[in-house]
Amino acid sequence: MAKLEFYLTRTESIVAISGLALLVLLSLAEISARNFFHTAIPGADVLDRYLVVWVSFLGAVLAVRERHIKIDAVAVWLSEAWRRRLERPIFLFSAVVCGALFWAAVRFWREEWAYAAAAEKWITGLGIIIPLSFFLLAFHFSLRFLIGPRSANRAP
Amino acid sequence: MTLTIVILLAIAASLGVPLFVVLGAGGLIATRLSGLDPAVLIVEMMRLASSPNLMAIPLFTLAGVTMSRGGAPQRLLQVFNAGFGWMPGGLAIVALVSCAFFTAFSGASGVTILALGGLLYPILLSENYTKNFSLGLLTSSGSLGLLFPPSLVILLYGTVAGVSIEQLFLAGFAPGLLLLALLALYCVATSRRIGLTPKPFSLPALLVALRAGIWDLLLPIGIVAGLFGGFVTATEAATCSAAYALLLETVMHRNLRSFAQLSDTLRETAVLVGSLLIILGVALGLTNIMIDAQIPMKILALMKQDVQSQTHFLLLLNVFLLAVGFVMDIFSAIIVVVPLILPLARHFGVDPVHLGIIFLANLEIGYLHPPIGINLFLASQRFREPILRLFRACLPFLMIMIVWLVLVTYLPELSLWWKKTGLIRVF
Repeated sequence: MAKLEFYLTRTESIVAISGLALLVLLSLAEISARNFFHTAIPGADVLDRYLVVWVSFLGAVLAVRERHIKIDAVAVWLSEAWRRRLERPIFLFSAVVCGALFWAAVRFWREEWAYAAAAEKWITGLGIIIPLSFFLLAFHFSLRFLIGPRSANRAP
Repeated sequence: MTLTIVILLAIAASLGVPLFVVLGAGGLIATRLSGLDPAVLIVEMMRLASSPNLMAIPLFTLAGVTMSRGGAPQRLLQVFNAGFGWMPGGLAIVALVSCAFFTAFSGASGVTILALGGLLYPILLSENYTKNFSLGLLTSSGSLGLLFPPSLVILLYGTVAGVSIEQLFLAGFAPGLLLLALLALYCVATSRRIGLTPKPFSLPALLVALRAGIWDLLLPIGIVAGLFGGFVTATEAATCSAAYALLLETVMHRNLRSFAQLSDTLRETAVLVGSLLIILGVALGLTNIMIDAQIPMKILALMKQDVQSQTHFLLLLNVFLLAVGFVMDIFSAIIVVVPLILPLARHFGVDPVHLGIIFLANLEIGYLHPPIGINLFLASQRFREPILRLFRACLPFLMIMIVWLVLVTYLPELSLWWKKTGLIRVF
């Protein structure tokens, strides 16, 4: 199971990294096109905005293994043992919530796809990242629930 | 019923459930209670893909992560040390300026204390600054610079509140400088009191440091000039910064040469940005439900009974935001609290740009408060000192920051002076 998590994380990393690199290149190309050639790259601004969503949502999926932002006002004062005891229920709860959001996202996306005009299908296609990443989030949280917390003295 | 759910979710959050999960659960429950399809949450989330300014967040973050991994903090420290080290209280001022500089870039995630604190602490002690002063200085410096471009929290506030990011950068500049000046004065006074003798100024040392650090220095200068001169928009500045930082660290300084180092940098950026923007995405849905349920309006109706003047409102706002700072970090607070107080502030005639600066100033102080002042935790980790001792060491700095907060809150001109000049035409 840990192996599955490893390979999945690696694939997600590669997509997120390529997305970010593409975002830098594309936005640079746009600035050059605008200033030097006084033209715009067709579709580039839409692609930019979706790349941001792709990079962020995959980043959020990767953050499951690293660290998500928490308001752990009480947890920081608990002992290490108690914190570890809390981890599995937290992973389970997170998996359930992400699963529910995944379901909502799938229904939304399928409807969008069905009604999208032919010329805009590619934009709706890019929107699949939302259901996809909620699926991955739910999946990773479930894996973590089964595997248990990572060792406390891991590398960050 | 609603109250029970809110309390249960707050307990879940305080026990360490990731914030986006808490907000997502809140959104799911709220749609169910009001008989809506949970797909409305996703409709709102898709608004992330239609916000043109959002792009600035990953690109500026990338610039910050690249610079930080490429050794920019050390190079900048040397430049400031050679440039300001000769002044009375020089080394302390060097610490302030370098931390402010670096926080503006690294997005105030506390990296400053980890990256610079460890470097500066032994140097401060070796120059006979007291342990308490050094600890207080470094712990509180970890969040300086939040108001300077290209600070991530300003980008986030602008996105959430729908306020021009360029205007926010402009508004944050004077308050940011004022805080630096106040703290610098305290450093000078302290070094006099301890009886430290300043070291002599050395031009060759400055030149050597400048040769290594000039390119790092040029980036923030370029951003400020480009933005305030009206030559570039925030997103263009972000693109150029990211490209410049990558070029600098891979080609010129060659600290990030291998493909693995580069992809690690990109990956770290994606995780940083992702853990932030997913909260924003999920919160958009929940906020919309709250606004549909007229919750801000209800709070406003309640407040109108007791609060008559703007000054009274601002006072309540300060107290409320300091309390928010007790339990929430700055990013969560912006996403969750700003949509609620924005309509209230508008009613009492507070400019949304000024509100942003007040908001961030309050939350900057929250970094130093128990129970979850992030700076206290990071510093306690870094310097191996108990949190309460660090808090005590921070107290004088905290007092100065509270005086500063009062000035920023009740003197709107400090943030909005440029509205009276021609600069506004640029934006």
